[in-house]
Amino acid sequence: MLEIKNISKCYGKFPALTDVSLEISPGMFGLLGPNGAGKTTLMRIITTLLTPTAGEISMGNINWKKAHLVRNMIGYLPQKFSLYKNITVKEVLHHIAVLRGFYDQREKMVVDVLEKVNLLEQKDKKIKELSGGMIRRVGIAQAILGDPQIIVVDEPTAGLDPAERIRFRRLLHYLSKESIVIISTHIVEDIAATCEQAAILHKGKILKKDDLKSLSDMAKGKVWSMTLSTDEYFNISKEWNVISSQHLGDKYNLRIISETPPNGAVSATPTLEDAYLYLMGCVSE
Amino acid sequence: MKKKLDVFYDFKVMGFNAHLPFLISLLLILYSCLRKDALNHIIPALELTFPVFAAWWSIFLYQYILEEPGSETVFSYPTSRLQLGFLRAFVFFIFYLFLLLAILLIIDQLCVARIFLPLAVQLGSEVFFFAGLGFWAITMTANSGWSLVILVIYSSTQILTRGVLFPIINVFSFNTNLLNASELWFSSVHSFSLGVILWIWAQISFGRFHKYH
Repeated sequence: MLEIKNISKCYGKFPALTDVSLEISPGMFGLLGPNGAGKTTLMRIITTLLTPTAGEISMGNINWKKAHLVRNMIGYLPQKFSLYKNITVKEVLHHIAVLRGFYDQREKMVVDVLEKVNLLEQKDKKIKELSGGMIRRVGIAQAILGDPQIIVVDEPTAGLDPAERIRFRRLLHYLSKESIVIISTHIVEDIAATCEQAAILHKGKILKKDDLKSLSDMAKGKVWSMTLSTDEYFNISKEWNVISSQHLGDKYNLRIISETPPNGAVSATPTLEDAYLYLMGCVSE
Repeated sequence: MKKKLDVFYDFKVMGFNAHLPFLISLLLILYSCLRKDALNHIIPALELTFPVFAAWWSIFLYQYILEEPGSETVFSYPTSRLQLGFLRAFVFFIFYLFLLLAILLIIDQLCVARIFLPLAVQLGSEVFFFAGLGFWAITMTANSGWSLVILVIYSSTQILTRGVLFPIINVFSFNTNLLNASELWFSSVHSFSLGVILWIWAQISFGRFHKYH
């Protein structure tokens, strides 16, 4: 169990994180929040790239103050990963295996991770010749070299096409069988599709942490659905908080977040996205 | 200690930039052979070009680590910043020093005799300074372009003013003949001392680096 206790981080006088506490069990954990919420700062603290201003992190008897020990059990894929463009996939991973201290085992290790991320055929291609999705897979390959106990992935599917996004989520889910996988994103769908538990971060503070069902239930009785004509749709969208609309022939099917139901609306089962938008709406009021 | 330096890979990652010092070396050998009897031209040519390029490898060695998006992953590996920083740069400084010795040996054997030892001491200490300057510039700016600007500004102002502008930080001797023992001692200790300051400063800055892209 990864325990994050009362972590705060200030950049000068700006508080990027305030008193963040989380307990993360093996499996997939999502960190959800808008841009600027402090997700990347928290990821960098977990990966020992930044030291917190206050608080502590531990797993078993390993404390994050001993960063050199922690780095042996962490794999990290940042939001932007496009290192070593002129070098082949295999060479990059060999080099990273050396930096990770696996000089003798690197041959086998690299083949293993390339198989896991399905890049064996591209092993002799230069990084600059790969698609965005393939580069993300190289990124995850370097993160899982040596089977780390904790894998931290920042904005895993940003910039990927829908098919690559689904493939990447499946890969992360597979990895969570044996490791703690923490993904940080503002894309709710990434978390809804993969995680068992999640926390919502806003302006450096944890608003809520729970399993996905409980998080979704926060918006129970606040989400409404209704079908309207085009004219009615444009009128109602000015008055109510319409969070999604689906065009069905000459009509629109709307989802609305509101404390009270609009005329003619029926209660809808809330999704994680509904709950996230509801919570963000509450905190911005 | 587990093997964590991968020099061959570092050369490969630098691409064309890794080869430029070799090209400069060839040109200097060629020039020295063409001006066989003009030691007063050969020494300035060697002093004003070869040591400056010692900064080249120091700068481009860190281009990927400090400048590229996603480079923060490198700092998340269980490799100490001393290994990632000072040790790598120092290994490349040693290579550059060998390159200097090789050039001087060739020039000494083929073109002008008895220059090897005095120039090895004089230029060796200047190479140490410039390798440190390159390492310092890239850790301070995290940008290879700006690091080259620092290098060009330093070299051009010192050369154009013959070391009069800020003489305390000038490492060029601007000699046209071989230095005598006392001059050699003074100039090399001066260059070496400035180099030590830059190397230490650069490593401290690299150790604290966290402006990730």
